[in-house]
Amino acid sequence: MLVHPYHTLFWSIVGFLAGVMAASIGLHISVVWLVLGSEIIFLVLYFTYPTLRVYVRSAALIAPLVLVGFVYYYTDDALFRRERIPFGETILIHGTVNSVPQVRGGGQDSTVSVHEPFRARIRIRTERYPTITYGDTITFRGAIEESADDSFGMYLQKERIRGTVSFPEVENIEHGTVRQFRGVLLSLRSTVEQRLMEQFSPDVAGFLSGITLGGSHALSDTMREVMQKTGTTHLVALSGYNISVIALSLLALFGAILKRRYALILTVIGIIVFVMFAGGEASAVRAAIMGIIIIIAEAFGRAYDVRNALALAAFAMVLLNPKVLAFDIGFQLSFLALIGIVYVKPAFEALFRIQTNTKGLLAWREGALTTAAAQVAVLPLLLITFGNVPAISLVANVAILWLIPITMLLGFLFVLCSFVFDPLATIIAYGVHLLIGMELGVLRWFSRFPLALTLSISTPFLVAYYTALGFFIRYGINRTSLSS
Amino acid sequence: MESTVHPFLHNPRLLRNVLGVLILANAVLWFGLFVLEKDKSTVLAMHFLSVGQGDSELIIFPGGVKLLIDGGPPNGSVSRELDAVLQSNDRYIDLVMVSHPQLDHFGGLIDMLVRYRVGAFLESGRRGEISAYKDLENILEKRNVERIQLAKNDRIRYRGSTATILSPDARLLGSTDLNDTSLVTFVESASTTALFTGDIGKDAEQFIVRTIPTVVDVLKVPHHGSKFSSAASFLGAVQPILSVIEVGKNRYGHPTPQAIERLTDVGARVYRTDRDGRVTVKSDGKNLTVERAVRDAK
Repeated sequence: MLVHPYHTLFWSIVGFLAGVMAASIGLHISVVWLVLGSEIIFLVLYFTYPTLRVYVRSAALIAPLVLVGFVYYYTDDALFRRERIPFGETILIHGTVNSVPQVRGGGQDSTVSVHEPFRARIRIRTERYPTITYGDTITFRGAIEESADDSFGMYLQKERIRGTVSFPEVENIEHGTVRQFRGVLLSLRSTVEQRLMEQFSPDVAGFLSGITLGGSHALSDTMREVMQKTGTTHLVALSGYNISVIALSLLALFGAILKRRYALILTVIGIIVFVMFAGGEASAVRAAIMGIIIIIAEAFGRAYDVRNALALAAFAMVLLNPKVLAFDIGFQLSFLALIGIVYVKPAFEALFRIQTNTKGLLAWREGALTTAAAQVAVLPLLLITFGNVPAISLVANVAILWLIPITMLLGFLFVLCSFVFDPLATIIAYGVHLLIGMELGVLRWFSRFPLALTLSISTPFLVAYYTALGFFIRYGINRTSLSS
Repeated sequence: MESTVHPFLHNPRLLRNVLGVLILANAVLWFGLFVLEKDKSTVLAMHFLSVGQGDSELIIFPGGVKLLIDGGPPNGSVSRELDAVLQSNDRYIDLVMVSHPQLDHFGGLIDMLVRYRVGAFLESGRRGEISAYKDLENILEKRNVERIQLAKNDRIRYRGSTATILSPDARLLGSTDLNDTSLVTFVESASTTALFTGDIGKDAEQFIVRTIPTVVDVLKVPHHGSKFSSAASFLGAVQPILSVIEVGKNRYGHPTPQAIERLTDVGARVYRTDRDGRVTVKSDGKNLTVERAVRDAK
């Protein structure tokens, strides 16, 4: 009757996502006409090509899903804007701080869940002192500026933030008023961060904190710059990569003692616990969802199945928050990188006839290929978003990436030991210090080559690039199926 | 019958590797313990840290006890400087002193107190008025650091070294000018004398002139080289050989040419952390040596 369910599911999701994307970029009624128009075309095709009826029927059923996605985005947006907020008026506001305040420049940025005189999330920027902490109840007087539709504004909207207040008059702060589960997790996280700060020099502590718990706030400005210049900032953003490292390690650990199925369940639980522990921020949760779906898929099938897993992951995340599709760089980068690893890497293997089955600590070929594949997939997006890409990014990433899993492992071991048996932790600290010191040295050395690839990306280029990539992937698939 | 000896003992290669690692680790540790620590027993080291516009000096007495006077502004510098001066596994500062509760003197300590364990916190008793001061008190409490109030004539003694508080007395402690409440420390160690002056002005300087025991070899110039400090009469009584100005980018004109001129007039060599970076003065009882972090400074 219809195309195989495996494909139907995939293309249904793609249709839905296309609808969400159309709404995100501001298309309105034209979408309806497009869908109607395509249905008419399908109707014509149905009668002119009887052999293709299965495909046509499927397409005709999927096309309306574009409208569903479209409507879903706007419905979600309408709900987001439901509460009336007196923008621009100076008012007294009362709420709870529900983010970990970031100290930036001469001030602090926090997200406040407002209770009075309305219910919404807003972002506030206050003076460096008095210090605000997660869970504080805060009362202040100021005027709210609505989140605009520019890139920063859309970032705020994606985070469900209605507006911002700059340097309001803080009237009162009550500490430790909210004892939620997340508050407990965050205080646990800050305990771990402090333990790292107690043991290691500022740069080492910041780097280790970043790669294990995510976040670049503990890094010094110089170090952050070094990482930007070498294209390695993604290491300290709790992304799908970090999650997958943890997932694979846990799988290996549990898989050695338990049956596959139980190892998987425990790994999933482990990831959930870890993400909550690292602060449970939205981006981390998304990375976890993606990571979990991917490892489940990889455990039960070939790369063929990963496609649907990716689609399901995207669907789940967009369902939770439609704005992430178009406005969350992390989401886009993670997805493209994954697509690169899953599809482009085999193509590279076929093209360069490289064997990547060699295991061992120095499986640099595997690492290099994976990194290259991910970079190739992500390049246009990076160029659009940041305007330039560091030329040594690929080399620097290959040089560092293979060390990260063991660094993370040693870091976790250190933290664990310091709560159980401190002297052992001090010994492990020697190793960690040596390892990270070397990694930072390598990064600093690479950052001395500030050559960057600067290109302004136009839509035709984008289309051409990904079309070419598509053909390259096709070539790879054909080559692999031929040789196997 | 199968032997139940642990497989580890049957694998000579593994055994050899593990043994090698253990011997190497021992060599490294014992070397570090004996060779690298040897220097500490007789040398007095005074590090004038480069923290920007603010004060911070680390004194390491012969024998290894450390006294940190002030932590500079809250820009993360003091932690980085300490990391550069001390060995990376040395996370203990015996004594931390705040000369007076101004942000460019205590701000950096809020972060530093998380990274290092501190034996005791020394203060004048004058409380800070800005909200950041509460953060400092919170972290001191959280880290269970003992707080000790010092005043004129109080003394710290360790092996052959002494640190004597010359100021403030009760009158200066109640001064409306926070700068004059600064704890002024006179250090005698390894046959060398040094004076750490915080942000004192003419009033406190005159008070010290009456009570300072001798001239000093090294002077931490008051108030970042402000022209309202370093009075000629004060410098005439102190007569430093070396003087260090702790200063960074600021809009007060620090260090002023007038103050620098008065210093050179009494024959003092002038160093400044904004140009020279961290300035380290070492004495072994016979010779005084000066190192500047920025080598090509003029």
